[in-house]
Amino acid sequence: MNRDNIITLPNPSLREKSQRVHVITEDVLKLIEDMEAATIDWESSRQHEVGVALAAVQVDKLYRVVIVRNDFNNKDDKGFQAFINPEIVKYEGEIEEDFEGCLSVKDVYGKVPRHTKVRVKALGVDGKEIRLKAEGFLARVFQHEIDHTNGKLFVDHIKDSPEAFHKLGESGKIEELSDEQREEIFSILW
Amino acid sequence: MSNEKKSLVFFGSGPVAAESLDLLINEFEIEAVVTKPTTKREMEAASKDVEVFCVSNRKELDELFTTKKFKSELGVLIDFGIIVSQKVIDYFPLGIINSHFSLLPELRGADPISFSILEGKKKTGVSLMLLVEAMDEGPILALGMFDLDFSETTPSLTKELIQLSHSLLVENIPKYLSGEIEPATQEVVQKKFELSESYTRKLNKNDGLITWDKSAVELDREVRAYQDWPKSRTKLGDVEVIITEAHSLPSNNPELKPGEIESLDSPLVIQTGDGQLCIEKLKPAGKKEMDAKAFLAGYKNRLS
Ligand SMILES: [Zn+2]
Repeated sequence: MNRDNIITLPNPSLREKSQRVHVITEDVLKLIEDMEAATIDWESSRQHEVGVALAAVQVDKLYRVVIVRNDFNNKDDKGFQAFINPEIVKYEGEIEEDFEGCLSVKDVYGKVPRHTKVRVKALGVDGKEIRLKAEGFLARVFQHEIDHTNGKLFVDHIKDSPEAFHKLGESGKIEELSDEQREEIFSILW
Repeated sequence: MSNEKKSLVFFGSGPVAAESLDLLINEFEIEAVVTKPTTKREMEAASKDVEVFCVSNRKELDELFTTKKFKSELGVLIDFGIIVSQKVIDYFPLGIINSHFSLLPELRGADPISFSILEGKKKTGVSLMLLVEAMDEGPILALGMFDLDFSETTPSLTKELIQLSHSLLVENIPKYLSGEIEPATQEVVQKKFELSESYTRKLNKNDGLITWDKSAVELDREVRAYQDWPKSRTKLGDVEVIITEAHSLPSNNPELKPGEIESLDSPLVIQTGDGQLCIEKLKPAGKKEMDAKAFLAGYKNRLS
């Protein structure tokens, strides 16, 4: 797979709920590999962005499978960890707003309120249970990706706060939107 | 999920900065390098394709940040040599991380590496600190410890600390960017690790002139601390020498005054104010470094 396999809004699949994985088959492992390849290929086409994580629905496979980059800020670490049937078992910490983007929502960055700490339960590729506490940016990543498995996108969280919508400028800096730009974007999103 | 690429602006001048940048550039996206005109070349060599900006003082640095736009939210500063104004620090939403080669608040100031040897510290290390305008007083993000075994010289310890600084940066910059580290005040760090608070001064050339009234232990430290610069210099007989390797002895010869040679046969031992200094290697003026035996053989008649 490559970046062309990543679907974007308004593709209706993105708002569908994904199904649980019951057996980790060769196909599931292949899907994970494909998702990684698609993310890396997507990133290579973006000058100022990193592909931090991806959910299977974004390559139009409606399974509860998520991959998360091992190291968000190390440009040469292209490794991922896969989480199968991930769910948030507990929300902790405070609510904090910060920017996030999505490979399925072109060029839009939003200031999204998220919990600063979450506890996550999932299966690893070996079928063993993973339990972890995520904080800060990682907590945000899990909330974003697990939303995907439930057919929800980050833009849906900020639907009623137009000022939370931004775009990535040519220099790589997050910039505010003009009213026209916002209108144009909204027409694609909903 | 996607995120904007986190990049850094690197501030540094000189060999330690260049070596640090050379390592860092493999791990992080560097948006720009800021250095002094005098170190432009070596910084450029370490910068690969990254743009290098030169400023000679604080005013020019301020100007750079009013005329040029950078997207990075964080700066990293290692041995920059220009005091950075609050205005430039505030340009970066996450501030500027300074890697300082001591365990702050110990050895604040210039030349902390030489002073950790001079003061006979058992422990030193690297502090990652958020820069504030007051020198070396910012909150601490992380400390890395290094145990000294009293054989270190300034160049050998510098090498070790560059590596330590690098691994601290690689581990902690991502954590800091993603909000996982709460900076601690130096007071808190000082209590937690039982550190003292001290300041260093800049070394000058005369520091290298040996005063034989000092103790042998102090002089042993000086030889190691001044290895690269200003170098431990003295006169043995009428020969100007630089002592490059020596160790202290607890023995004293009450018949000798500080600075006098114990015997013209190897080993080359000099009486100090307290204890004796056994010189292993030295460099007579205009000659190559040699061991004490060769020196005694060649210069015996000029020593008494
Ligand atoms: Zn997404």
